[in-house]
Amino acid sequence: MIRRPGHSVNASVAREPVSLPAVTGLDLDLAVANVARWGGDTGLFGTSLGAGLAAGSRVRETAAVQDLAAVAAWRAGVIGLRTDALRAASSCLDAGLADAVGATLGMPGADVSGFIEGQRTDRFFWPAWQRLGRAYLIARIGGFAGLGGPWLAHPGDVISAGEGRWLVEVGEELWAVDADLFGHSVSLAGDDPADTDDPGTTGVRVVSVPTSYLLEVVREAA
Amino acid sequence: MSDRWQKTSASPTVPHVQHGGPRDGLTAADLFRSPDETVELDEKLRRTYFWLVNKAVISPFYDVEFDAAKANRFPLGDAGAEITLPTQPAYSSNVLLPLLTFAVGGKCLMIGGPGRGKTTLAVLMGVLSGATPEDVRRHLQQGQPQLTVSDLVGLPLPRDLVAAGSLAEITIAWKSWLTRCVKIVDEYNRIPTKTQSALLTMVAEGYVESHDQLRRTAPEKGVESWFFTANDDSGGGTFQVIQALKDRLDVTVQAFGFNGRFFDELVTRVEAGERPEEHVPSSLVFSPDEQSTMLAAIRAVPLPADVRRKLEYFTGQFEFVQHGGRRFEYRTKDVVATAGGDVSAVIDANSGADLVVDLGAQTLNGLSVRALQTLILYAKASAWFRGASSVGLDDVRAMVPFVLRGKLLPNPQHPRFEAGDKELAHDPASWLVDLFDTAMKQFVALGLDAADPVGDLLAELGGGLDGLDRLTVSQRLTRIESEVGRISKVGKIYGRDYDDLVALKYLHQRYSNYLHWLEGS
Repeated sequence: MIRRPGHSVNASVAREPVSLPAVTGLDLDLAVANVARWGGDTGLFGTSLGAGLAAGSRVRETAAVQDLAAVAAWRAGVIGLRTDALRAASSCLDAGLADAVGATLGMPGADVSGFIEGQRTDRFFWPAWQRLGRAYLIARIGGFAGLGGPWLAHPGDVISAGEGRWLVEVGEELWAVDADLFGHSVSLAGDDPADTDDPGTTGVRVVSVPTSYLLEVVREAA
Repeated sequence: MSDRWQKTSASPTVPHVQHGGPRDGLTAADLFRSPDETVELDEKLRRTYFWLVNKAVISPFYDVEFDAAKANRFPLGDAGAEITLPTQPAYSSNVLLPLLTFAVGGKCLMIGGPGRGKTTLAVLMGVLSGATPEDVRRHLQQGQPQLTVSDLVGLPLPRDLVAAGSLAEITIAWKSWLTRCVKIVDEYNRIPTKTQSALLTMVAEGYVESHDQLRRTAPEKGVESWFFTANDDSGGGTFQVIQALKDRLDVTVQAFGFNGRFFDELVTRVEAGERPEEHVPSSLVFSPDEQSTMLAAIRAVPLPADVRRKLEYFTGQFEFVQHGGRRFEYRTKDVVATAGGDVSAVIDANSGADLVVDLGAQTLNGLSVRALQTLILYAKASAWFRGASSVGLDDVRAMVPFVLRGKLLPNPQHPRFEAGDKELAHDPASWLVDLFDTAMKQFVALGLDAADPVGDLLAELGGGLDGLDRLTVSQRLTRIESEVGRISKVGKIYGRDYDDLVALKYLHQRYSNYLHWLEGS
């Protein structure tokens, strides 16, 4: 079996075709295109946003839909939206749209506040994993270029380079990996990768496996 | 407007090796912006480059290369020619350098025979700054032997000349080109010497003076850049260009001829009666704010310490000449030249050093601080343009021939310009790259990439003197003297040693002065 990159939080999420409603002042088709451009899962984006809009009948104001779309895009793997999505989720909560945000994220509305709190201190926090009590896989990242991944060689040594950021040797190149619960970004590191002394994310390791082009992001047992 | 002009390169022109989009910085609003609206300025500048080179001036000369070591090489003919096929993107210097000049707010001299697109490119730069083609042409200063200072800067109002009681009461009708973002002086080597001096004040000081009145030439908004054209770079033309004005020009770039294989485009233009400057896509025009932002972004590109060290080594080769004076500090080409001496003869008198190894022997002068600052800025611009996060040695190498042309003058008596390398005598760009490459090989051969004792000593001083005790200071003084002694024992002195020795003496002074203070307090 060929393993593909992906995040465990999406393992059992269904992606059903959703017809997104028209919202005055927002081009949702453009948002879908941008999610794809930024490496997100467009199917998941549609499902998440569709669920959020369906759960929150009052979500018709442009600003609220825009915030919900940011949360849905983050949920669909666009890691670059992480900071603004957390802001947008809080904003939706303040506007009384907990059920809509919950549906977008795939959890009960009552859990959203705790999830946002948890995410602010641990970017891999997910309520359902809180009491697992064992090590578990958070994500697989990377892959062979011939199968759509970024790398032509096996990833080698990995060092932590800050919160949610790792540097990995791939052949003669140094790559940077940024990850959180929902998504990741892989790019060539600059010549002067700073901050390599940072302890990184507590309890989370990125490991390379000699038999795979994929890196595994793993939560160690507590 | 014809559609064929409006097509610009699809993004990204330089593929960012990235899977998964940006790591941060996106906002909810970005989700609803089209990629064209969110195009980064460096991407916009690259699109502009490709539009210029493919649509506007048809310049298929890719002479600025960035992977010399990996390129495929094919020997051609029996005179040592070769063509290289690089694997990384290469660029056409006669388009890239004017565009980088526009980006950094520099001063570019374009040289070459008539009809090679020099003026067209300069006009295009004006249009890129937001001016209309008509405005750019109206403000273009055409060099000619009768051009007076008044023609260039403006006239005093006649009624004031009659009625004014003092110069301060004379109103000057300043020419409006003076405050444009892009200033173009065509055929500047046909301008009379006195008018050149007025031009020098503008270029060097950023103001112009007439009848005791002064006007700043910087535009209210945006970035000021200058474009000069000339059909001669060796002192020819109607008037000799004054050296001070030449020194102020940041880069010199050769305009290429037309490649006959691209005749179809020429025929189309003749048939349609079109001029490229009238068809610049609006998406490629840079607003004043964008120009300022672009310059700030270029200045912010870091120059890593290892690249800086190699640049130090290269530029340190040229000031020293063994028999330039008696005191060590005075043994420079500038001391010889300012005393009216023959630098070539003084270099030739140095029988102690190997002329082939001594890179400094190939030049008649050293580098000015202005030239070094220009080299740093253009190397940063090159890195930024190519989407790099920091300046690489290849960026410096790429800019050396254009920034140092006319500033680092070849010593025609040197053996480098004899025998099999005679063509280097009239190809300054190739000679300068050769000089840089040789210096870099020497740097590695001397093991300087592994150890830099003088750099270490300078870094130690950079940590500050506060709190150092006498013992530590004495130890450092001993290390400095030991390093001077090591160079002294070699017996031969080169330019690279001159800079090190001057720096060591500086360090010795700083520490010994501090020691005196410690002992007295």
